[in-house]
Amino acid sequence: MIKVKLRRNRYIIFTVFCRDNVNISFREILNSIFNSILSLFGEVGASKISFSLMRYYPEKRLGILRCDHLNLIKMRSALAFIKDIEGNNVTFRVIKVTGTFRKAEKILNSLSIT
Amino acid sequence: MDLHVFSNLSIGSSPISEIVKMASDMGFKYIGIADFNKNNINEIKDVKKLFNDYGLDMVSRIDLSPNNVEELKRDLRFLRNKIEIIAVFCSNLSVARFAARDSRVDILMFSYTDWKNNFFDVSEAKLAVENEAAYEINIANLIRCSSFNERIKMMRIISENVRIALKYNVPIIISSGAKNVFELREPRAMASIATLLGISEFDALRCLSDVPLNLIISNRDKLCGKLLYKGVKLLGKVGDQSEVKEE
Repeated sequence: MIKVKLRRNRYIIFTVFCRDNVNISFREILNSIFNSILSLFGEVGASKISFSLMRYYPEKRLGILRCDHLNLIKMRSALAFIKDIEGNNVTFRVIKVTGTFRKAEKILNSLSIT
Repeated sequence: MDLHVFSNLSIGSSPISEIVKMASDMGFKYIGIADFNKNNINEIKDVKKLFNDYGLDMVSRIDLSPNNVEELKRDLRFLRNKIEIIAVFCSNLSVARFAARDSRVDILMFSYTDWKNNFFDVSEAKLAVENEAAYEINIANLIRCSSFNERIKMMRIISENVRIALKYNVPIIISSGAKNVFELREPRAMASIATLLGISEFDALRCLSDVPLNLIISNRDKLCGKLLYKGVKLLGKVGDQSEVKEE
């Protein structure tokens, strides 16, 4: 029997740079990333990237998102194209890319404490 | 490294201190500040000091956008020995051809918004490669686009330029062209955008690091008189004899 390798994911730990007095919610982050993917790669591209926002802590502006491991570059470029959320200037910065959610959460927790 | 950033010293909106902090957070080592012109060259030392405090290296850069060849010649004569990087925005064909032919020009910039004003063609590429002038892609122009149509057109023009540059081995430099801190992008993010324009990830990372670094090193050598002529560098002096290395 031929073993078929399952689709692998990558977990991106990211931070959002914006002005100090700006609060960005989980929903706003999700929508902005999704719109960026959709405008750059269309519906077919978005389905291949299989993006999902797993965690986002608005107070720390840190989060984890998941994407397909073959489409990591596309995911990074979609993040780079986001310039504002609800009229507020923002920049996304990728802190680390991991292969498991557990590892990503561990890193996120360590960053949240510091 | 990011060779093209503006601060509030010129057309940018963010102060140098914010840019320095953001660039340091994003992991840059060299930042090219393009705020300088003929009148404020004396401020380079002060700005450099600010960057050095954060462990960053500031590269002085000037963007020239001459209307004709005479103007470009005059500016080059005045600025070449004072500025590390000279970039020329080619607004017409004669300026584009002269800039590609002149070895004093380091970087060539072209319009991305209109095919008619984009003068980067095969002849330009051949001239540029002879004189080691680099073709620059500014990521912020793409990010700033407000409409899909504008961005699609821009990506098409840049992709075509990149195809010509890669075919004729013209060095490509990827930079942000940021006018505020929120337009700065980390190196890997810029590389990932470059992959959408037809550059492989490996080449994109080279365009962000090796290509601009080589340019900076050679220009700094030229400015301090170490580079005697192409391929020959003065390493130091022992007594009266000069130790010259041929590369």
